[in-house]
Amino acid sequence: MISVEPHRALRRVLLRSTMFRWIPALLVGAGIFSFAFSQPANSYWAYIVCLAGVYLLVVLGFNVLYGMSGQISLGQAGFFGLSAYGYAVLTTAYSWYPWLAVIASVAATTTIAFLIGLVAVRLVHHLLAFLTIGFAETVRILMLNGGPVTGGFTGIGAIPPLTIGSWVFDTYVKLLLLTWFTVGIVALLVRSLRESPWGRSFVAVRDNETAAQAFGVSIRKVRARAFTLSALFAAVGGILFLQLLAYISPDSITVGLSTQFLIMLLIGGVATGWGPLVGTGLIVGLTQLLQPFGAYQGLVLGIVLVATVMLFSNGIVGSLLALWLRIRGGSEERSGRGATLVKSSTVGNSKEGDDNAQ
Amino acid sequence: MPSDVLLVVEGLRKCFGGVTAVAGLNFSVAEGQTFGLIGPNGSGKTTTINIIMGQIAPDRGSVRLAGRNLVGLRPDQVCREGVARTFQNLELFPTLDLFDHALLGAHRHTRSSLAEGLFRMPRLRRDERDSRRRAVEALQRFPERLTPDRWHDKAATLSYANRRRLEIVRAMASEPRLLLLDEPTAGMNPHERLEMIGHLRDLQKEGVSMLIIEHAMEVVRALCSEVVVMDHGEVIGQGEPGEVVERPEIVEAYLGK
Repeated sequence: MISVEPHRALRRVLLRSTMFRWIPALLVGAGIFSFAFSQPANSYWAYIVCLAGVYLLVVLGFNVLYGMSGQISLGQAGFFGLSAYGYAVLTTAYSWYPWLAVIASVAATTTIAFLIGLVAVRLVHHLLAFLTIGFAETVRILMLNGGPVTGGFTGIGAIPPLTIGSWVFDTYVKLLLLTWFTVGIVALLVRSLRESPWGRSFVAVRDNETAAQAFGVSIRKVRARAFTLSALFAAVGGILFLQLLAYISPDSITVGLSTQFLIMLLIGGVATGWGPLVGTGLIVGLTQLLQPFGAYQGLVLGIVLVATVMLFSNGIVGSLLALWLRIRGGSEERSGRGATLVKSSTVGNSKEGDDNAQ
Repeated sequence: MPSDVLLVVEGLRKCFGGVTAVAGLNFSVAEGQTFGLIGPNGSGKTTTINIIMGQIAPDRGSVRLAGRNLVGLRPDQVCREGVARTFQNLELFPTLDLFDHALLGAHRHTRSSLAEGLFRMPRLRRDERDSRRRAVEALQRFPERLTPDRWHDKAATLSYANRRRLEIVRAMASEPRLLLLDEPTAGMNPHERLEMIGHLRDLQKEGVSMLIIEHAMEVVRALCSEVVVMDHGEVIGQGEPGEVVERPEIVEAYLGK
């Protein structure tokens, strides 16, 4: 066997990170772009694809939180709703300039998330899930009882659209372009995060807290930042959601929506690059395709989801990726060196044998 | 006592409920020295390393690295002061590959903020370049075992001995002032153990200061210039390894009367 020189290995690292992932991303971008221009200004399908983009923004952020840093949240709809309501109230009741309202409500939502994050770092798993559900419900109930400011259960309508110069985002096709442009930016940010020391420390904390901390990773900082970042993306999604519907009410930000974000990620594949897109696309697409089932739509969707989870236990992308690795690993015979390939379950996380217990 | 003392441990004491894990431990490690911590199972060696690293708070006593107090700091802060450790129970990251492990080892040198990471700003690029250099250097310490064609394999695919090597790679990538090795040759066969002694000798030659916990006496004899022998948290001997292990009370602690 020819030994690979270190600098060649280093170059392989760089090549792998840049070249590979551009082609599918460009194809998706071109697909969305050409779709947008094939549609009439207010076509139903433009609305649906735009809605998928809005959800995808939230799911991309949720993947940073749950996939990369391993924290669960069932309150993403809270941040989503808070920023949407923020924009709605500021532009209608206080007649703020739309972009100023965007900046203010996204900044306020992110700040609130940061403050919650400071408390949340002490909580793990189901406790964090409870806290975030509690937060999202608090937001919903506040909006429900906000009197004339939030419009109570009828919500707020007649939202002024965003504009860039004389270009007004008042049609589904225009909003579709704006939304997917934002999706592209967020996806790029998430990708560069994943390859930065921060992204690595997010994953390290998820995989093995003890080891991560022993190598200079501040668990508190990682948790708080992942939480804040996911809320920021959800807040941006909330603004675009509001643009699309031009209306918001407490019914649009229920726990059901938070759960939907979780399902989208689980179906697509947690901690995978393409999982959010596949999961979101599938759920939004299925919901449309199952319209003819009328009242039985939820039932059929449930069956399809259960079947998907049983077929792809790591999500669609996660399971296909694992399958591909297995096929590739099998054909190479792993060069016969490591005769004792041990199963992944025995690496790290040996909590019961933790040496702290000595 | 030489003037260039790196680590000073004084009056260290730790009880878990009714069990005294460490009872008044004193020792110091000089710059460039390889110091051994030996004793039977459950004698408090790993607890000592956990206290130095900040993973356990001591009941009493002090730990100083080049004059700076380490007690009360979190492990990540101790790490940034220049202490790196390996784990007896192999604390690796199951979903990360070998190269990522080495990069994470170098994490303590990174300074870039989250925003700089998101937007790939200059400081981030500098951090990454330095981290990659450190990671490559550390991985090259085991050129025959952790060959470059395996650098992108997940840690889960490694053999037990290679996982131990990866633990050392990760610790070395942090370029520590003090390296804490918790049983670096546990579970290795005699041949692999000899090989590991060779690698640790290389580190010695580079002037790396080490504190080693080890059961294999051949490793201790080959590397350590001084050892502390612990039993039930108490120090029962200290001195040059070849001489200390011949003492009757030490033999008794290991083998019984």
